[in-house]
Amino acid sequence: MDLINSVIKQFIKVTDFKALRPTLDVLGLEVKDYVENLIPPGPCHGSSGLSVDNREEVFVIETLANRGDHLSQFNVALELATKLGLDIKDPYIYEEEIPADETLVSSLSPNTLVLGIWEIETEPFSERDLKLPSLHRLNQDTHPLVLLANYVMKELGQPMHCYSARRVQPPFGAIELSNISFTALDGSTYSVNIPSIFITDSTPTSGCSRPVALAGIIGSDDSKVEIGDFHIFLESACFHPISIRRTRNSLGINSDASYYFERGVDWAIQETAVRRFLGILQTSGIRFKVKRGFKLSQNLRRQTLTLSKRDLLKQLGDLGTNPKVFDTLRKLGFDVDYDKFNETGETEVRCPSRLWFVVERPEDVIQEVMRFVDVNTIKRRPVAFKMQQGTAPAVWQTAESCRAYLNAVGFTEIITRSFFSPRDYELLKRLGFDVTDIIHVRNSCERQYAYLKSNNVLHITNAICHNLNHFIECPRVYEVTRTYSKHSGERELLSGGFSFPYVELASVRNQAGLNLDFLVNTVSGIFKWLDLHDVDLKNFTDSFFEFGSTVRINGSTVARYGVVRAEIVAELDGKRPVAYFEVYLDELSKFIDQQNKSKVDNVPKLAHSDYPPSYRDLTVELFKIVDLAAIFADLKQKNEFIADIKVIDRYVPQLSQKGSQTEDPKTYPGLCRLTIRFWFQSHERSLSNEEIDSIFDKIVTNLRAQLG
Amino acid sequence: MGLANAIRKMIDDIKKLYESDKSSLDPSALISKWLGSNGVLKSYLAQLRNMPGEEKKRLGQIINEIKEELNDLKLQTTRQRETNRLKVAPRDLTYSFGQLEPGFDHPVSAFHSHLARFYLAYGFSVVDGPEIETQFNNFDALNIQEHHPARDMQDTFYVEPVNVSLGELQETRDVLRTHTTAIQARVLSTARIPIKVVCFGKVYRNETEDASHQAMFHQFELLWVDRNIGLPELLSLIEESLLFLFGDNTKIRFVPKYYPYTQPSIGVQIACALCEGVGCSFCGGSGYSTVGGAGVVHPSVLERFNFDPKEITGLAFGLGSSRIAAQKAGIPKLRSLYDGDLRFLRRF
Repeated sequence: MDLINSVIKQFIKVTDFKALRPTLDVLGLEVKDYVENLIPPGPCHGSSGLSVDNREEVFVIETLANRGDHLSQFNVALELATKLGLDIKDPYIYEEEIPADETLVSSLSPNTLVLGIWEIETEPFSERDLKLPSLHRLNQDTHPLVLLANYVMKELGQPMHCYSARRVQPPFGAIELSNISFTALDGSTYSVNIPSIFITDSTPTSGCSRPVALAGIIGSDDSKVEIGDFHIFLESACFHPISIRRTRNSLGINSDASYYFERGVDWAIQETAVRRFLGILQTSGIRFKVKRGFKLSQNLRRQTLTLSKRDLLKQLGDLGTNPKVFDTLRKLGFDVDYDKFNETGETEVRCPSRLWFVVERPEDVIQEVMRFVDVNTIKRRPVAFKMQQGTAPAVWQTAESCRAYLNAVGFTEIITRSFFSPRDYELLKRLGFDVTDIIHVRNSCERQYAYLKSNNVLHITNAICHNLNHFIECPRVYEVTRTYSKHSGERELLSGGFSFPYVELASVRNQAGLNLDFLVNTVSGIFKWLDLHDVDLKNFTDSFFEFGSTVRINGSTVARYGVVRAEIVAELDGKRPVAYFEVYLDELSKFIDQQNKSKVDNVPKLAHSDYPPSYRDLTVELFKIVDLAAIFADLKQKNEFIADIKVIDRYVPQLSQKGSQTEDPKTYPGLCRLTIRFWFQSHERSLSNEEIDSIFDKIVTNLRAQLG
Repeated sequence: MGLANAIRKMIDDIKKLYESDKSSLDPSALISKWLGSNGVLKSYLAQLRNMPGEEKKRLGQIINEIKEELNDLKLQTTRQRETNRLKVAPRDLTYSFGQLEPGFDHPVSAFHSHLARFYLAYGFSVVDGPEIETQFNNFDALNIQEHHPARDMQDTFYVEPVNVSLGELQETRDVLRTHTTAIQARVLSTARIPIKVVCFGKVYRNETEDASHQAMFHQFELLWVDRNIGLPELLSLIEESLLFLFGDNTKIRFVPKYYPYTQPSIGVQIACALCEGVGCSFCGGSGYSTVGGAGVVHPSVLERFNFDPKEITGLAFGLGSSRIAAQKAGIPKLRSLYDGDLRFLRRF
């Protein structure tokens, strides 16, 4: 909603419009923007009379979903006046007696609260003759009477509709109809299939009354006002918000009028709005004749509620029972009796008609009080707890433990979307996966939006490939997420993966050996960390993995891992093989000892230094089978500055002729030559070259002794 | 021979040549011969310019069909080559996987863990619920009536009925939960007072995705149901938790709001990090930004689960944790949280 300075200052005295912002915030009318100089100088302003110039100050306000009353400039001015203690001036209205004509309105449907029809005939005029305080956001290409009706809607919050008297025939009625076709004044034809309120006239048609408007939403094409029409029927009515919204939703129409009606229009303002309409005509010096037909529902009455001292004290503290609160309520149009409240501890409250859709229970009145006393001034009551630690579900704790472990061994957590993209879906189909298990998701317009992911392999592989393509050397990622499928429902899992560089080695036999030991170490590490030692492994191969293994405890599958098939990696633009693992947190949690399950705070911290590392390379020739891993571990233990030891090249002459290798990659069989890189790093300082050389010399001496 | 006949023959020739090449050449040779810089298609394209309208259209169509087929083939061939390379690539068995730097929690998880520690210490328990929720739990139980404008606040994703043969109506279809408040219905239907729970999780809204709006994001929700509590306790609890999260000097402000499931309802705002509440262009001049919503659970919600709202009060508080986590981690765009890009995530 746009709050317009030139309109507001008709009602309250504002010297600095911009300074109203904090007050609007406190009232819950959140200001999204403040703009000046909105209206460019144009021909319509010079002669439009009152105070329109080309400088306009506007607050763009986000109104709340249930507050139809806040769509009226006057109502907002009333609230500002109440909050700031200013006087409020009512808008100028036409006060003469208007002759009644009972033949103008015939019937009311159940969801129509008020139906008023005014027959107005004016002398011809143009929009330049209208003395309007503002033309902001008013379509100046429309008929001047329609323009005026739109202005009053923005000022008082009452949508009104003009019918050309040449094209309609009173009496008018509000009737619920369904299964009819309706051509609206936007030129579109709508099939209205659900019971909806129509305004009908008495033009003879075949069988039933002729609809001239879809009530509260849009008029018909064959009743609209055209240039030259100055004899009109002006409809000012009130309809039930839910009924309007149901129809509007089913047809997918958006109109200014429906926006107002859906949020609740004051059921007592229809006549005032028309009188304001006539008042502006009168001030503008435009002569007119008017007649009035009016019907309202029998059930309309102001809501009466009981407000108790106990409730006010509970929610607002002492502030709630302050007599000033009752003054504020009275200014806002509530009928309250403070003396009775003070004596008996409760009072009846009669609510203003404009809040009929907002105030239904005593709590709604408390909300109104809270808006005006300023919630920030409510005295806090400290929260007194028996300090007893809360609990967390086993799955949540298991996830926290796994997360801590994986972080420590170099994995970074990511969160991916819960959807398969159409590309993923097509890929799965092309690769021959069963896609019938995938759950489809539609948006509220019934359009296909996406597919919920039934596995996380594609997402993890995609993330790894994405990072590799952005020059992350060894991406290691994991995610705690859910998968969704028609048969298994939602499943909580921890999944992750990585990809390490490989080097061209002509003599490697086991092509699948890539990363598998790290993969096995990672997964087994999780189980060791969780004190689960009794696990079985079973190899498998499926459409996602090669060299896959499932991990079982007591016959239940709790995890699986493997190397993602090359076809999938290639489809996702990957340039290196990807290893993947997933742990089923819901299954796993069943086997975790309650005492040991949260190890979050005791996770071993991986050494990480902010000081730069250095390295030295050493080429050694091996003449016997040795356990390099043990030698490296020993070296690391002996010297704290060795951050890492890595074999970066290996040459094995005539390896195939010997035929005596073992499959264990940690043990090097027979004669070979290795290049080993030693990384040095301190946690407290940068190491000097002399220091590093000295350590390196010791390493060489040590290795010479061990390797011969 | 007329021009038309000549062109018809040319079209036939292209087709025949293409079919014969397809059967005799291997894919890469076929692609090179037809799509290369001096390829067959290029020479035909050159001739296309001088042809009359109808024939030009026909020949153009044939050329396009061949081009499309060859482009598909090219893509397939590239993928196959990549696949083969990945399959036969020699692997480094000696890679020691050393020099590991520690990994990190995702900013959202880190934020949730941080918040969970606070509330666990205050005696709240962590609960969780499904992301595929019933419309009752997500809307109706929370006083969000169908056809009320409040439903516009949360445009919804509908899950296609699992068993289509049952002919389920749209109204009964499940939805992807639009807010973690849906957990309230589950908790209220089973638990007894005092109820003190918190919930963290993903929620979904049908939003047009851009750098700062996502169809999937994370929320945090708190529910506290007990006797003799009210708004003053809620304000106190929220302030304590926000000071814990953002630091002791954080300016906090409450403004009235509307949520169908709470009354009174309040919005929770913290001072803009740049101007500290004065108002600047970064915060749109307001000085504050909204981080969450809170309120006293609406009596209709309590009544629905057989709690007497005259005696029992519910307090609720929710935060948009993705946005806060992004702010705390200094990630400018919400989208970067869910891209899995380690260049962003490793920094925090």
